[in-house]
Amino acid sequence: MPSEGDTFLPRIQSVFYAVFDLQKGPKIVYQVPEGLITGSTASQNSNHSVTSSPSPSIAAAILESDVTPSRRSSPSVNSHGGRRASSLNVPSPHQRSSSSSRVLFNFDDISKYVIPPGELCGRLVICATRKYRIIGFPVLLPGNYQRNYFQYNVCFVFERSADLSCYEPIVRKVSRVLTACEEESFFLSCPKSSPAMHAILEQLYEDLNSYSETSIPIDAFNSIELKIFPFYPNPPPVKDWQVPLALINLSKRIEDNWDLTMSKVCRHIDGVNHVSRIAHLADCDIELTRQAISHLLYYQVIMTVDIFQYSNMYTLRKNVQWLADECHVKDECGPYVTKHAPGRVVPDWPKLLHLYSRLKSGKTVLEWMETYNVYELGIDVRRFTSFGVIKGFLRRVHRWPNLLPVDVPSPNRRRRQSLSSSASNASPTSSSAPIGEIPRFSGRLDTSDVAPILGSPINQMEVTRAQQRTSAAEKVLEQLRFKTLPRTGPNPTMRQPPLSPEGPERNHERRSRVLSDTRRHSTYQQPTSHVPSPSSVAGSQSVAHRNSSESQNAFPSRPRLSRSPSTSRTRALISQGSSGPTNPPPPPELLPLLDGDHHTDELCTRFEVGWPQLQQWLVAIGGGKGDGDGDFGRVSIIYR
Amino acid sequence: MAETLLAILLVTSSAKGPNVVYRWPPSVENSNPRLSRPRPPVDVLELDNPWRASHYSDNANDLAETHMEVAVDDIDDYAWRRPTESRDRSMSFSRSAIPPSGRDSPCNEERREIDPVANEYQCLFDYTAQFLAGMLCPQRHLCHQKFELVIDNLVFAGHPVCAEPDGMWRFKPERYKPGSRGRGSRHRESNLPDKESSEVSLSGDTHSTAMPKSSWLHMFHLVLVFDLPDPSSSASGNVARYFDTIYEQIAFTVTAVLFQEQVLSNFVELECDAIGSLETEYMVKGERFSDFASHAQRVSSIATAMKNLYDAIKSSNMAHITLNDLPLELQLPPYLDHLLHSEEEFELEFVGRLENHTDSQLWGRELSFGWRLPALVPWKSLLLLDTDQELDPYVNLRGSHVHAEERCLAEGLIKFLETASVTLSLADMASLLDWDLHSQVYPTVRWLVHHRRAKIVDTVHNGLKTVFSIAPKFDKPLATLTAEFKRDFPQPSILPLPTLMATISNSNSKQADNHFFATVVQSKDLISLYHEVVLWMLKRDLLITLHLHVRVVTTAELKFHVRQAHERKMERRASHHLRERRRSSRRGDHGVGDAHEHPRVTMPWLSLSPKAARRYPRRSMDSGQSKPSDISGSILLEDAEDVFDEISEEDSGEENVGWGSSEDTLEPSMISDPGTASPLERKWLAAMSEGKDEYIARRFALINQYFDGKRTDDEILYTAEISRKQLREVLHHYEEYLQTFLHPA
Repeated sequence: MPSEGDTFLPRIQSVFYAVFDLQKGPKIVYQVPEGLITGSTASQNSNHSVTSSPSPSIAAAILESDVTPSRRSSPSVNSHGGRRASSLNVPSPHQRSSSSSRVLFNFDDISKYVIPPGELCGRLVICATRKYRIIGFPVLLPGNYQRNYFQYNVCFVFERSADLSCYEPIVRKVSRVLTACEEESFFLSCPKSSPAMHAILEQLYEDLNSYSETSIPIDAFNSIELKIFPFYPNPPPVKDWQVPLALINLSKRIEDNWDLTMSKVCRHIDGVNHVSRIAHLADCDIELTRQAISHLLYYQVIMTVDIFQYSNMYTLRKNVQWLADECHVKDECGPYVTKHAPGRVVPDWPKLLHLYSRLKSGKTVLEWMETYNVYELGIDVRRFTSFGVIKGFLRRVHRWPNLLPVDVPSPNRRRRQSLSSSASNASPTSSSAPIGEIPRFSGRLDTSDVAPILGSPINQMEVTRAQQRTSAAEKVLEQLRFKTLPRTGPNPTMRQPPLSPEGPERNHERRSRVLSDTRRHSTYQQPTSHVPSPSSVAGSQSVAHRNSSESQNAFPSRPRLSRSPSTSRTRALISQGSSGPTNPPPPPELLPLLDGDHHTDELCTRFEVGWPQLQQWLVAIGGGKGDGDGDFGRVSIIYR
Repeated sequence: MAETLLAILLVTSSAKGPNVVYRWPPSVENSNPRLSRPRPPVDVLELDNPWRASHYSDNANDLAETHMEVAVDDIDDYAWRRPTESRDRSMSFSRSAIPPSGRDSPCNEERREIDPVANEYQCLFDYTAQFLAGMLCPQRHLCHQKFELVIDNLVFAGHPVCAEPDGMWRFKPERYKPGSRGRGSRHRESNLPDKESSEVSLSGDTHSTAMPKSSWLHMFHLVLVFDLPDPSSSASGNVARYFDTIYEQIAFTVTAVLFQEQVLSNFVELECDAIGSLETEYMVKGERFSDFASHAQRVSSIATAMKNLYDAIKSSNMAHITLNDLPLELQLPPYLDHLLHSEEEFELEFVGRLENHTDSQLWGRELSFGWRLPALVPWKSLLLLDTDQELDPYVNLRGSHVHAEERCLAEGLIKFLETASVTLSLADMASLLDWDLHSQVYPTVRWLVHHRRAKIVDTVHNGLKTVFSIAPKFDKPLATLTAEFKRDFPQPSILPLPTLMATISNSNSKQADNHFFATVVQSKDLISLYHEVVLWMLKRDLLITLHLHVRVVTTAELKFHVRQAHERKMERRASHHLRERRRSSRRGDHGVGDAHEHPRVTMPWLSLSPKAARRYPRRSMDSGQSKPSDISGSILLEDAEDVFDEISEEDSGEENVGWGSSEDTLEPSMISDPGTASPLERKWLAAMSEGKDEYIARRFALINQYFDGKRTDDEILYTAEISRKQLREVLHHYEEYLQTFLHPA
């Protein structure tokens, strides 16, 4: 995580301790550095503070705390020594005050906010003069005092423009500890111990400015332990369909004492897995996973990109006009996006830029690859697009389906729709996977849909071959392929077997993975030893799989276990040869979401299906022909 | 809009003490208390996450519930609680310390405790109004400057002003300039001479005006109360910038006018009297505070102004208020609230470049921050927005109150408004109206944009042959937009909005015929109708115009060709010189002969003339990075040859061409800025024109400076003064060397 040195923390100009004096009203008792805040009472006080020697215990404590932490060198090392002297010799504060002759402001101007009426006590109060901001936490303690209450405030003075949000907890805590001391031992109100406040203020001033942390023992039981934490804005909410991408080497940072969810989640952040898939892979609760990702985002060690699918669409952003000339873009791009194979020539930047410029909304990555022969160039398309997204000149174009109201009824279509849905209702959903695709699944699914896993050349070769074949496909095949494109059909949890040499073994692995997935839905627990480590399955389960436990529960009609790839496949092969493709019916919850405000990544994640399945649903809902020419009938899809 | 604004208060101070004279809205919803430390979410709190993770089951919810009961207690202790919730009544003794302001609060403490109606008058943000008034009337020293007080999560901001110590209201020249807009404050602080001049003019004013005497008013303070935004929702420093902007645009400006009117006519005091007596009347009658608040609108223009201001800020409109018959238009930058939220991805488009772009200076300071305006350039167009009838500029301009001498000006403006069209660029407008672009057109445009009556858009083709894409985000849900669209365009020939958008967005995938006419309109008869559709969508920011950008690519073949030509020339020349030199034998034998026999090996270092030697290190510095070793040999060689060549022939035109520098490779590359092309790049550019028609070559030479990928087609056409057809011709002929991009500008 970034060190706090990266962030700018405002410098404390002055720290002062003020009380309500029985005779004089509000007055500053001690201030560090001396003499910066004027006022009739203040001048007297500074005298007072100089003459009163701080209690020895505090001085000793300060010395101790100075020695213990090994701190990086900073400009205040000098003042460090000076401060030690100051707590021992009396005249030192004087010296400093004389050297800085400036006066920040007059105490009388702000005294009513420093020692305010009771209503403001116990609240954080920030007031401002022309050039400075004063933050304090006025405290009013009822008790056995002369006026039945004791009122004090420890205030910090900053430049007017300073952002004080990181100091708010500091001010509260100082008040809390001092209040406790006062309640326990009249630390503040007792004339014997109150001079120690001066040393405390000094240490606050020096340590917080120099090291952003401090440890001030006050008595046997109380101490002020402070650390200023750097301030980062909260990240936007994490969505299930976002893909976290590490900006640093996360695995090197994982420590044993990390939160367990976090360390589990971190292992699956590879720029390919999306949040809900990480939750599954890491076997973590989806909400906890979101929080973990959000935490990493907060520290800016990851960023999020979109799920890579060959059905995705991208478009250039206007930034490209500047970024295309930047060295960090044009020099890094080629090596990053090319698959590393011996003898492969890295395409030059004009070529790459040309390819980027031909990514358009309305054109899927697959179509783009085919048109421009991207394949031959040895470009890893996932890295190619994510490079553009990361650098900020490429933008994912989402599909936003919208269901038009029925003003032009087309009975034909409607009937067909109802027929198809009833038909699929009749058949057990578990076996109603898009059948026509099944034989094709084996070859395409993993390869054409999902991001090639980096560093596994076999997989990439797979992709290559599959792509070549599809590029030759004609119209009918095109449509079928399209259905199989991203993710599997109805149930993404089931990954279909890839066409890979290690088929049987993989199958076994996969089954156990499926079991491990389903285990969260039953009380049955798979022995962990049987669960392959995610990295080992990564190749076979490259089908993006989007599950969330909630929505899974919403579909009890699709039993998990029966969907184990081997079973569904065999069943499909047995039973489906003759019958045409059928669809599981579109879930009724889908309809209200087709208002043009939910994009397909969101819908796919929500319903745990891939785009081909969703596409079929949309065709069914809209009553379109869906022949791969984008006829969705009443459903219009806006790309934006 | 300032979503955080909670209320506007008018606080006064007199000898009788401070008092909240008026506030709007009458009842303020209390903001939720916020914690300064993170608090585990109660609903998902799990004390033993590892255990839970390892024993995950479907009935986790039951578990969570059992945990909850324990958790609530813990949290009770953990959470920081507001003092008001726990404070007992006896703690508020210090209230008596505040001098009771008799004037407007006749009811005493006891009555307030029991009487809910009186309570309404007296309670404000969990405090008594009196107490707050005391806090909001600062010491005299803190008057006439920006005031800021933060109490927990309430921010009070304003600009308190007070009478002189002798009780007179007078302009304080060093701080005040009547009627100045918010920007004046900064201006004056930095500008001493200005300060003096304003002092002079003001003191003149003060003496000439007969000053009405005020009787009781010491200080007044128009306070804006905000809910402190969660600082963690935005980048550091943004919250301060946010409040600064509101202070400058609203608080300072209104206070300036009020102060002026108070000085000139004791306006504020009279208004406060009116409101005060009304309040007393209502309180005595026991009527509700809200009734008083609405009645006060009728008796006081300050009260009305405060209400209008609040409503306008909340609805992010322009506030049109009237103070003592002085009309005032106030507004906040439309994108101000975005400061408070972390940037979303699509918003990054606006971050960065425009900020220091020279074009943004054309907008002026008022319009530069939080407006997110496109550049004000001659090739853009003006889109007039629908405005309220009463504020219609036509009505104002045609109104009878326009003076005769202004009549001509008004007519010019009317003509301007009538001419303005999205199909007409600002430059064309200027020439049509015979106005000067910078001194007449731009100021008018600025005014219209600032008053939200127009916006700058990309010029739309007359025949709608413009390429659009759909904005990534809509302000309203699509369903709402669809309904509005249906209402405005009921014609059956027009597709429903979603279909229309789907068609537009799908069209981008095509390489040709992707413009609006080809994809949507398709019939010339419908152009005028669809013109309205385009306007409708542009007004709602639904459409983004895509622009053509061009870049020049030097291909490997071209580079090879150029290098070959150069080498041939060098060889010719070298042999020629050698012959000459041998004849004259001016130089020593060494190297020269070798250079001829082994032109790839010899490096005639020693033969550098002083001039060439001077140039040599300079060039190697230019070239920057060192090249891989395998090429460096040839680079040096070529350079040496080059130098050798120049020794005898200075004016060959080959000087300073970066032969052999790092840019002289055979790899295809881009000429990032052809306008400032290096000599070598110029050679490549020239080589591109080989074999082309002369007129095309000349045009290419003329306009290739705009092919830097940053200029839009519109800009190129405007700057180069060529037609679209001519540009297309060049693009066609130089297809091989040009890359085109279609993206938003």
